[in-house]
Amino acid sequence: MKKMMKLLLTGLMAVTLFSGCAGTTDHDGKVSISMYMYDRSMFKELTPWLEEKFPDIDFTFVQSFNTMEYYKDLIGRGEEMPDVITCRRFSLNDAASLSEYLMDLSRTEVAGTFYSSYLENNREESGAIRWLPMCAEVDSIVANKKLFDQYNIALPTNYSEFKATIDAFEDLGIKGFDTDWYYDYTCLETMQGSAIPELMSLEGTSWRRAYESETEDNQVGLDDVVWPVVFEKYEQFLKDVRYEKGSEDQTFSVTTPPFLNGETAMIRNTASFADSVTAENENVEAVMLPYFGETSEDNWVLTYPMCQLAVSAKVAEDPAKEKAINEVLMAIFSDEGQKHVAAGTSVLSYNKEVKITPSNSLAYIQDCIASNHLYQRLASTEIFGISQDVAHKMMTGKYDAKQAYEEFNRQITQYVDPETKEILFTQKTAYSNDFGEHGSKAASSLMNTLRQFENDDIAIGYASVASSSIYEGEYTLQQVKWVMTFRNAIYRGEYTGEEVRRIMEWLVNIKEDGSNPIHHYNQMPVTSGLD
Amino acid sequence: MKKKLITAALLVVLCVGILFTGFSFSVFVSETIYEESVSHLSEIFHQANQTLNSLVSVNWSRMNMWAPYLEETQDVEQIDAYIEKARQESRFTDFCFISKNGNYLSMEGNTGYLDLNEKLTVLMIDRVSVVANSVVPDQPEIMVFAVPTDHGTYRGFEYDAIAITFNNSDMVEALKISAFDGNASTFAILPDGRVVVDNASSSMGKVRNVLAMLKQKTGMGADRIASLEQDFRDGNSGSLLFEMDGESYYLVYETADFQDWIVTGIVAADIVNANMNRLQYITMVVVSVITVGVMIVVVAMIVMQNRQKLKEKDHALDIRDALFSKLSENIDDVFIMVDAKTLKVEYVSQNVEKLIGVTEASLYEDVHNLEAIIYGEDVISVLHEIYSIEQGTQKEWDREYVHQKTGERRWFHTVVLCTEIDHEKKFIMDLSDRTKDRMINLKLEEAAVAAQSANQAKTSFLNNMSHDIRTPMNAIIGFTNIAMKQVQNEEVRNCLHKISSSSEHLLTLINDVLDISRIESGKVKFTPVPVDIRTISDMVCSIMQGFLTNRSIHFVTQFDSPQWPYVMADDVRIREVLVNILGNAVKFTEDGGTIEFDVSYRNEKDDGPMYVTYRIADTGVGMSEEFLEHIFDEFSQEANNARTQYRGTGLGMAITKRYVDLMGGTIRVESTKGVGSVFTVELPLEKTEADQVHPVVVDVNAVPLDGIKVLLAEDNDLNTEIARVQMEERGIQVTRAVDGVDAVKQFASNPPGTFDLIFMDVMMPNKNGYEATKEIRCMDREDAKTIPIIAMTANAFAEDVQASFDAGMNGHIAKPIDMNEVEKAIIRNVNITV
Repeated sequence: MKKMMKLLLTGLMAVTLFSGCAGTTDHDGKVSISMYMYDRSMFKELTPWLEEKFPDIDFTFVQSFNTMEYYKDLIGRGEEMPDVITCRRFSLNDAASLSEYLMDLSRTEVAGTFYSSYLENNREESGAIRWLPMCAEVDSIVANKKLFDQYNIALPTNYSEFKATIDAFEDLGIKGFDTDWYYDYTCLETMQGSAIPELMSLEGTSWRRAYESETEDNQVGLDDVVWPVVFEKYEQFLKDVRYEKGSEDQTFSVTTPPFLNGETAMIRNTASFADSVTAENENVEAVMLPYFGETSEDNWVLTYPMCQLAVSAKVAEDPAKEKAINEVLMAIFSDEGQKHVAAGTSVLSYNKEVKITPSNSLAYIQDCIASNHLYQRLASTEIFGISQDVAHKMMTGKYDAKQAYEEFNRQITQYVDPETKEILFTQKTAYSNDFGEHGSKAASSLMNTLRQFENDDIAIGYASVASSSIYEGEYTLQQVKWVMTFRNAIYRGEYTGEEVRRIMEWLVNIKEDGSNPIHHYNQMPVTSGLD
Repeated sequence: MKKKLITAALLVVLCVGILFTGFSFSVFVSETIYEESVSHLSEIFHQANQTLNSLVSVNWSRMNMWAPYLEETQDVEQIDAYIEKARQESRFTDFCFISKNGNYLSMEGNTGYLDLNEKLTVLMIDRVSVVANSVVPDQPEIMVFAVPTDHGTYRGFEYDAIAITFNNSDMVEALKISAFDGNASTFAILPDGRVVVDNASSSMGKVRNVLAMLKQKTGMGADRIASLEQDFRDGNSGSLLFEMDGESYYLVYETADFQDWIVTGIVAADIVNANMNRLQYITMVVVSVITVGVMIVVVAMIVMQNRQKLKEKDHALDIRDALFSKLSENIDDVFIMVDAKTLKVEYVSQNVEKLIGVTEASLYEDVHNLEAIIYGEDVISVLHEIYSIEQGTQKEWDREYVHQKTGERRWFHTVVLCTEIDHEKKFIMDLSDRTKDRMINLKLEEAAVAAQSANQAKTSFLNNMSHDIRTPMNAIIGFTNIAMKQVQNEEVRNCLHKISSSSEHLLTLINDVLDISRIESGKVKFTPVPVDIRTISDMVCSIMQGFLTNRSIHFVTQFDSPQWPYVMADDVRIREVLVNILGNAVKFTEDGGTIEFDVSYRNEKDDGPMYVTYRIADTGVGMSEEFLEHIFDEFSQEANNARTQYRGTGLGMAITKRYVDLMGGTIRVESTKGVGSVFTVELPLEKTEADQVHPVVVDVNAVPLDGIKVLLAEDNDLNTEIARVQMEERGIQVTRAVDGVDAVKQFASNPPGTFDLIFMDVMMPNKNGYEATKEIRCMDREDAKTIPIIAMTANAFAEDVQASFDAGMNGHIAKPIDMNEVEKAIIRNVNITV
């Protein structure tokens, strides 16, 4: 008999109630450090390495979210700031309200490993430095060089060549450029990437410093010199890449297969993606291209720190923990540690002591790298949200460049995340996300809820699927999203008992190569509906 | 003990003083080294800082000089040459033209974006020179010095500023310290401690943040680190010393006046202080050696001094022992020391065997062996009484021992002293051999007894002589006087008168001889009685009247009046003195001469004695100076013929002098041969109360004695007759008793009132006068106690007088009897109604 089984949840659910049970475990005798990882990718190499390197430290790794709003909500729920947090989307503005909960790291040894000019970007007015950037991620245009070679089309070196290349592929029935327009980061990056020279002009950098220095009482709108041009160029960019209406809902899963199949020549993605697909697909040699300017000297590569790391201010109250965390940070930001973070895909390190060998995918942006044409995206939470909204409306034709500028300018001074507006429900029972011998109560509750929601027979996931406890009280959509870890998806299907058994064995048994799927107790499976 | 404590205390104080001085010196040296080292280091790193500042200063100067040149020069080759020359001068890493948007063009033709952050605005908008950190991927962090220029073009690149860059690592050169052989670490750091320029020594290891290093590796307190960071932020200079991995390091810091850098130097203290430490080490070694040397010398001196003292002490003890041994051997004292608790003998002097014939060993064996040789029975044992002696006191005994070798008896004076020696109670016995003394004393006692016997014999002889001479003299004189009254024949009377005169002279001679003998034998006593001093001089005047009878000598008297006449005086002796002197004056003054008798009185103190001065001056024959020197010698008379002219014994002045001496007075003589003599006698006399003085007896001639009934006890018939005749001549009724027994009998057998008075001879057969008197006084009848009994005896000495009184008599009359004395005695004792 086949059973409908839900294997993790993706997207969102307007779940009205969480229910279930789970257990917790205390671990004594060691220094305990809780580390919240913004993305599961960090669990791939970094966390096992840390656990192996520091056997005397009792780590609790939690997969959290890429935004600071998640931590703000934790604090708002009365939780303590985790010992170490990471966040991908970063701006000093967004971080301001968390300052009081975070340690000033400027006097730590690890801060001394950074190029001071990079670290200065994270310095608060007070002089404190609370966030340390991980190595930089390259996020730009990815081209399948094999496809170019196949059709004897040269890789473009400037914007006009880029446009010509698109035209050439379009003439061949191959999509010249397409991407997952649905995502806010895609909207943000393509928008900023289309006008980096303007954004990096004297006026552009001056405005950016002003914007990043804004306060709640002194909101900074878009400037009227650079930003109108940005929208004009973005409007042109959409035209030049032959954006097709209706594509604004395209997700990663929609745009990736055509790229891998040679149906799309270029997409927006990261160097790690490029390396990954090159390794996994014979027909693909993904290489990174810059966002093109009029000349090659105007080309810029969009980068951003893979994530930013901060430490709870409470750590300073426990010298043993502070010492341990200093050692952990030194390890993370060491050459070896950064390699585990970047997994060989990064373009550069912000750290003096780290030398990262560029992957092959970066070969065609070496000029940009050498000339320091590395644009760090403007990545405040509101910019993400507004960029998505405005870009989608430009894509649908609702806004022209001018309207887009005006709407963007309007929203940026009074932005409210729509997902935080409406209270969806009130949770009556709290479930802790502490991982114990019997797993996480929050994770069990989440599994039960998912199974019941779709009326499935079985739900199987990891204990770490819950990124936070389930609290009593009101929940907005945004808060509901934060219950389940970032970028986890639900896979539904019908499986036989034998298949379920094999799934479970795969989840817990040590593999033939000796790898253990359970690096940490919070990676143990959590199920619902299994007797 | 006390001295040892003081010495120990002094040594402790000395040691503490040395340690304290050493510690203070060490602290002083350490502080001085620290100050010197810090000063030294500060100077070195200040120079490094100055080098950095000079580099910056020179760069600015040159940049400001190059900018106008580039603005004026369009020729690319000229520009290239100019910049190449500048590069050689300034040794910068790169030269760039910078566009308004921050893009650069290097001289090598490289382009790119020079991230100057907000300083791009300052440079391009404010047109102000800037210095900034920047980084290009895969390149070292660089320091950019940029100055704005007029808008220009170089090789088609439009620029608005020029810049030179230095790799931070190149800046290290400016901060290199040649001192300390590369062991000095120099850093340019930011105020939060982050290292910008790292010029660490190889031994220092990687330092990324100085503050973090201090916190993690030194255990330095948070307050101190915060203070240091504050110094960094405030741009203060300073220094500190910290420990890291068991080693001391100096940290000096000084603001670089460039960016917000702080030039910081860290050097191991041992390296900085290498020479100082060596100096300190040598100094400490030298000081230690000197100190130890001084201490050794001091200790050696103390030891030597102690040894010397011990030696001296031992020597003194040896001498003392030797002396004690010699003394023990040669003196007649045996010393024994016994422990008070155990009676164990701890010391016996070596002479014990010699003195009492007992060996030392036997006494060491048992002290009771000493008691076993005591002579006699029932002798108190010293060892029994020894425990009653309290500490610090002693007891003494005289004991007789039998010498165990010779068997002779020996007398010892035994003294036992209880004392404490070294906190232990001891008895020290001293057996002092007094055998010789005892023998001498025995002989002396025997001699004294013999002398006493001789004296008694002499006294007896004198008494007998006195009595036996006086008795016939009494008869001679008495009967001569009687005969003279009976005989009318002038020749016979003349003969009787001469007999009487010779008898009296003989009696005087006898009295003088007896007196001087008695004085010499101490028989004569000074017996003061209460008297009116004036009566003595009156009495003497009366006597003088007798002397002057039949002489035509002027007798002049001058009597002062005393303030208080009642004194204690021996009136008899005074009278004798004055009568002697006046008698001589009469004797040696020719008729027609003058004798002066002056009496004066003086009082030195109100409560002191009164002094009476008798001055007797005559115009007699006077005396030679030679004689004056011997005037008071016995039997001294000037010129042989004097004896024939002036009869005397030559004892008068000697007796006078003895009497005056006896009374505590003085006698002086001034005399000129042929002119006369002056005798001055001064006597001290204690004052007494007036009522103590008996009234002066009235003139005997005025008192009728008729009917007075007298019992005369006298065994000698002649004396009885003489007395009876002379008393009956005065109308006195005399009843004789032939001896003492008869006297008692007659008194007892007659009723009271039968006799008014009894004259009692002393030396009588059957019962002497003393016994008879005592018997009468013991009778149970009223008048037995009251009837006056007067001794009438040839025993004329003072002790005889005293013996009479002691026997219960009321007076004493010496034979030969003087009727005047008899009459006075009657008048004094019998209540006569006139």
